[in-house]
Order: sequence, then structure tokens, then C-alpha cells
Amino acid sequence: MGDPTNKSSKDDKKNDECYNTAAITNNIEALEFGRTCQSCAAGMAAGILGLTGFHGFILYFVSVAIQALIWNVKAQGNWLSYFPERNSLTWSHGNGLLTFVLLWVFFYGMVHVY
Amino acid sequence: MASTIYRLITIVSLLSLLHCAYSAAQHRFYLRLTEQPFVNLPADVVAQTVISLIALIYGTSFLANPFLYIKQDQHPERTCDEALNCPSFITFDNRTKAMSPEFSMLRALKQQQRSQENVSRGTHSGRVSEAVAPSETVDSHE
Repeated sequence: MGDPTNKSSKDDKKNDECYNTAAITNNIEALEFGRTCQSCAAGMAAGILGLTGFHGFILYFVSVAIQALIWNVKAQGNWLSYFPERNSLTWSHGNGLLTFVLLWVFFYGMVHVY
Repeated sequence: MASTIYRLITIVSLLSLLHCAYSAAQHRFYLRLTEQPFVNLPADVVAQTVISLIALIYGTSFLANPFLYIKQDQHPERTCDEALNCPSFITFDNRTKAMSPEFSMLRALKQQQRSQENVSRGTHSGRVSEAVAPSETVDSHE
């Protein structure tokens, strides 16, 4: 349970900070672009390597980790001054996984089936 | 400039990835002709694929918009002196100047310059030197 008063005061402190909405939108666009390109690249690589089943998803999550590392390098280590929360590992996986599976299947078919 | 480098990295790694796809397809074609079973790809193709995958992720994530600072204060690195600086209250021409040891030197230099100017103007006409003279007397009383 903890003490609720402490938690609420912490939340208030977080809500007190003013954010620049245009800058947040710009950063999230950059994240979305990066995630899409990264899942495209991972899908192509998984198809070329001929991975099947869970191995492909392992490759996807490895590429997510690499992407998060590169994003943290791009943010020069202080992620919280560019984003309201730490979401470098969790951003937009629904979109990314769909793109990944699309290119994975396409390249697997092009390289290994035909 | 930097964007050109990242664009180059992206294009080269994308081409390299497509080249990997072609190599893998050719390997499968060769195996089919020689009627060997497919075990795995040759190591060089795998290595090229992995390297170009990492290079592509790197290139595209730096090709995207640069991250902007999201707090309302857009200049987080400035100090108090810069943030609270109020230039309209700075007076450069105050009495402290007269007390500094450099002042006498400066005044001597100024007077020298002025006398040189007066000499050069005096050759053109006498009236200009008369017009300049009152200000010079004010300066000498400072």
C-alpha cells in the first residue's frame, strides 16, 4: 500500500512541469520513424537469414535493444529531457511487429521459397 | 553535412542488405542444382546481413528528426548570470572609469588622436576646428 500522500505529492510534482508540445510531437515522430525503419530492416534480415518461428521474433527484440541503445546515444544519455517518460524500449511495438512480419514473410518467400 | 553521412550510411546498408538477399537466393539455387540439403547460409552472408542491419538501424535513427528539448525553457545550459542579465541597467560611462589606472592612459591617447584630427581638419578650414573646440574643453574638465 505505502503512503498515498507521498505518492500524490510526487505526481503533483511531475504534473507541475510544463512541456513544449511541439518538441514532444517532433521527438515522437522521430521515434515512430526509427521504429518503422528498424522493424523493416529486422524483417528483411530475418527473411534473408531464413529464420522461422521464435528465432525471428528473437531477432526482432535484439534489434529493438540495439535501437534503444542508439536512441539513448542520440539523446546523449538524458532521455528524460527529450521525452516525458522512459519509453525507448517499449515505444510502438504493435506497429513495429506488423511491419516486421510483413517484410519477414516477403523476404523469406523471395529468397528461400522461390 | 551530418545528414548527408547518415543518408549515405542508410543507402549503402540498404543496398548491402539487398545484396545479401541476392546472395542467399543464389546459394539456395546452387544447393537446389547440386541436390544438397539446406543447413544454413554461409558465414559471410550472415555476417554481412547482421552488419548491414545494424548500420541501417543506426543510419535511419539519426536520419530522423533531431530530438528537441521538451521542457519550456529551451536553453537549459545557460547560467544564472546569463538568464538574469538585464542589459539596460549596465552603465559603461560612469565615474569608476576615472579612478582606474588605465583611464589616464586612455585620455592621453584620446587627446593625442583629437589633436591629430584637429590638425588635419585645420588644413581644410578654420571653422571646423572652432566647432570642435568647445567639446574638447568639456572633456578636459572631466
